[in-house]
Order: sequence, then C-alpha cells, then structure tokens
Amino acid sequence: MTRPGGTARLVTSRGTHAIAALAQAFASRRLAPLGTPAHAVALVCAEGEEAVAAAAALAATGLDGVIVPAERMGDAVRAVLEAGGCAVQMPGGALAPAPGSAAPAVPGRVRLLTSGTTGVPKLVPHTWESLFTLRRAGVVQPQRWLVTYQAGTYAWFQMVTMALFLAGQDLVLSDDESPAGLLAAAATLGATAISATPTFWRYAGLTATPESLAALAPKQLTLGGERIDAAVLEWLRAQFPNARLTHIYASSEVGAAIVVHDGREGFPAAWLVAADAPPSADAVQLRIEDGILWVRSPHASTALAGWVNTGDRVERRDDRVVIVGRESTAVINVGGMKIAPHAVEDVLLLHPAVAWCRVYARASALVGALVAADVVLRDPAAAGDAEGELARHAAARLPEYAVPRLFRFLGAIPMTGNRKSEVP
Amino acid sequence: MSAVDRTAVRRMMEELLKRQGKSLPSGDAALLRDVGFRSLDFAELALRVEMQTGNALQFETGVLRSIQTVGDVLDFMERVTA
Repeated sequence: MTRPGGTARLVTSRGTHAIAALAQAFASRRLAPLGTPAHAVALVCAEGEEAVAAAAALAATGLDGVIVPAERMGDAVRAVLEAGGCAVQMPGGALAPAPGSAAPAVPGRVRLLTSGTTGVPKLVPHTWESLFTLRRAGVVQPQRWLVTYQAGTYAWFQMVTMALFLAGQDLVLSDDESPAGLLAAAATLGATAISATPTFWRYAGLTATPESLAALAPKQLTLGGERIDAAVLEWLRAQFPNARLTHIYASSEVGAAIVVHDGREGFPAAWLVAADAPPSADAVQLRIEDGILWVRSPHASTALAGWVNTGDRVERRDDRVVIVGRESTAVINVGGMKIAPHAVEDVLLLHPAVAWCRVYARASALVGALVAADVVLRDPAAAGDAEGELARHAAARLPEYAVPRLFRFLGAIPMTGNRKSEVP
Repeated sequence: MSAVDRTAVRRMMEELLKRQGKSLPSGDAALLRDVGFRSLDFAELALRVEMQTGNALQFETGVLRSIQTVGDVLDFMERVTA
C-alpha cells in the first residue's frame, strides 16, 4: 500500500485540501494528547471532514481506533464501545477512559461500528489491508467521488481507503447531507463519480428536479449497501447514459465480495464455484447452499476465515444469480403459501404512481401473516383511491395471497443515516 | 376492549370489497361465497378490527367454518370485541 493520503484531496464548499495535511492537523490536535494509548480509542467526529482526517491519521499512525460520527453517539453506541474496550474521545478532546477490564490495544486494527440495520450495532474488526478491497484494481481512472455514506461505516471506509491508497481518487463532501443537498454539492463541486444506495437514488429520483439531475455529469455510478433491483439500474442507465454503472455486493463481515460492471441485475452464475473448490489467495469465491449465498473472501473481517454464510437468499435466473433478500425475512408465509417481499415490491414499483415501497409481513392470528406495504407516491396530492388502485394492480399480477392487504402511505422515503431503507 | 359496532364492521367490509372492485349487498343474508368474500378477506377484516380496537382477537377452533353469511361475520366480530 502507498503512503496513506499521499496525494488525495478533500473537496468541500470551504475549498480543496490535501487529506495528508488534514490528517496531520488532526493527529496534532486529537492524537498527540493521547500519547501511546494502552487501549483502543473511539474518535467521535463532529462532521465529515473531521472523520476523513481521523481515518487518515489512524491509517498513518496504526493506532487501534474506531471512527464514530457525533450524531450516532447515544447510550446504545456508548455501551457497544465500552464493551469493546474503547476509550472514547469527544470532538472537543474530552476523554472517557477505557473500562478497567479493557483488553490492550491491537496496533493496526480498525474496527467498524455497523449501522445496526439488522440488529444491535456491533464492532467488526478489520485492518487497513482488509478494508482496502480495491488494492488489486490496478490502474483506475482518476475520479472525484461524492461521499454519500455515513462516516465510520463499511461503505464509507471503501471511499476513504480508495482515496488514501489509490492514486487520483479525491473525495467530495457536502455540508447538507440530504440527498438533494448531496446532489447539489456533486454538481457545484464537480463530482465525477457517485457511490450510493438504491434508496438514495429512489429518493433523489423523487425529490430532485430534472435540472438538478441534468447538472450532474457522472462518469462512474456505483451502487451498494442494499438489494439492487432491475428498476433502479434501468432508471440510472436512462438518466446517465454516459456513466459506467457498477454494483457491489458487500458486507462489513465479508468485505466487497461481488463487483458487477455490466449494469444487469445480479451477477453471472459462471462466478459460482463448488463447495470443495480449493481456496484462492486473491479471489473472492461464491457458492449457493440451500438458496443462501456463501462467500469465501480474502477481504473478510479478521474475525472470520473460510466460507461465510452471508444470510442473503439468492435465486438462479438463467445465466444470473440474483440476491432476493435476507434469510430471516426472505419469505412471508400466508397460511402456508410463501411469497418473497421483493417479488411484491417489484410489482408495486411497476405502477407509475409508486416512487418507493417496502413489503413486509404483518402478523395475523388467522393465517400467520398477511402482506403489508409501505408506499411513497410520486404525487401524494393525486393519490385518490391509491389503496384500491394498487391492490387491483397487484391482484392482476400476483397470486391472491401475495396481494398486499394493508397499505401505509408515507410522506417521504424513510432512510437510515447510511441512506438505506429503514426496516419496519 | 372497545367494541366495534356492526355499522363500523360493515363499512370496513364494504371498503375491503370495493378495493377489489366488488360490492356488499344490503342486509345480512347474502352468502359470503356469492359476495366473493374469501378467507383471506376475513383475515384482513379481523386484522383491521384488531388495529381499530388495539387488541388481539381470540378465535375458537371451528367457529370460522360456521360463518357463511354477511350477518355471521358481523355477529362474530361483535361477539369477539364485546
């Protein structure tokens, strides 16, 4: 790996700064007073620029650390950090020491605080080496990346390690972190590449004006963080015909496992290997067992080795493998008949009035579960009898048990801090 | 538990059927199979009644088989929410 933050720059409304210089300033202000910490340190950062500087400083010094954006600090996160043996340093420098029982620091370790989308947040151990999944990417085009992810998450570290360790990759940060604000910053600060979740783009498609979308000129669009469906890929292809469209399947634990550049849903079935295939030192390996995707990755968290059950349910469709949902929530059982939420979501998204939806099980004493849907309409004012309209639309395309019985119409797409859909 | 009166349950049935492009005849005598009110519709209606009262309904085994008419549905909901 090259020297962290060698030439990369951080572009904000306040100007363009070398990340290496920001890291040095951060190290003098926040790390120097710590001396040589005996335990891991959670660095709470007030805003995005400080978080990037903190990451670059950790990478340069090899201190055992966790990056935590200030907006995530609360009792639950504090408890996770304490249980993980961390001292906690607030943006002003105030330090809460590590608990007496804390294990010694592990030099070179960096732990990720997961978003908690699928449960309680947890600390996932990595090294800078395991986080830098693009190290085998070879020569890549210089880009100016809009950072849409919340600081400290796996996807955010992908952006940051790319800037630190690959030549010519600058980062663009927006002061306004709403999707509209982020896209405006992308246009005014000249972002040439955007990495974001499908939910981010759905939200943008709903709220951005045609002018603000036309002001963007991305050469690279990267999707990740959630299930990626054909509809969002098609929308992006139509909106930005000159951009290369890449989608990434990744998780904090297994690392970036699948990178697909052809703009089609899923990944080629030819990438699957047999369960008894010999391990590879540098390639990610994939296989399916009982409909669940298993991954063996050289980018996996240091806590994992060998084949990892991703818990993601997949389907073979001709020459592709498509991820259809999480194992635990992948099917809704309606009186013994099973339906995958994504199959219902795909049908609802076909209706021109629907901007976004999520489908889930609603417990029913009589039949176990009924299908329920949260929906955001493109034009709430023109809703009329939207419930009936969508129920009839679904009934014409799905078996009776799969038709949503309860609809909730939301005023806006609910998003987590990391721009994913919230789980009901 | 707050009871849901027959008029309110009838209105819910009416709306449920309307969403499917069907209508609910007046009176209680109409057979559910003629109206097109099926078992999943009954499950939906029960869930909506539960949401309205804030309480889970208790269903006795076998009682559902005796529900044949619109009036049976209204009687049943009235009884279990009383």
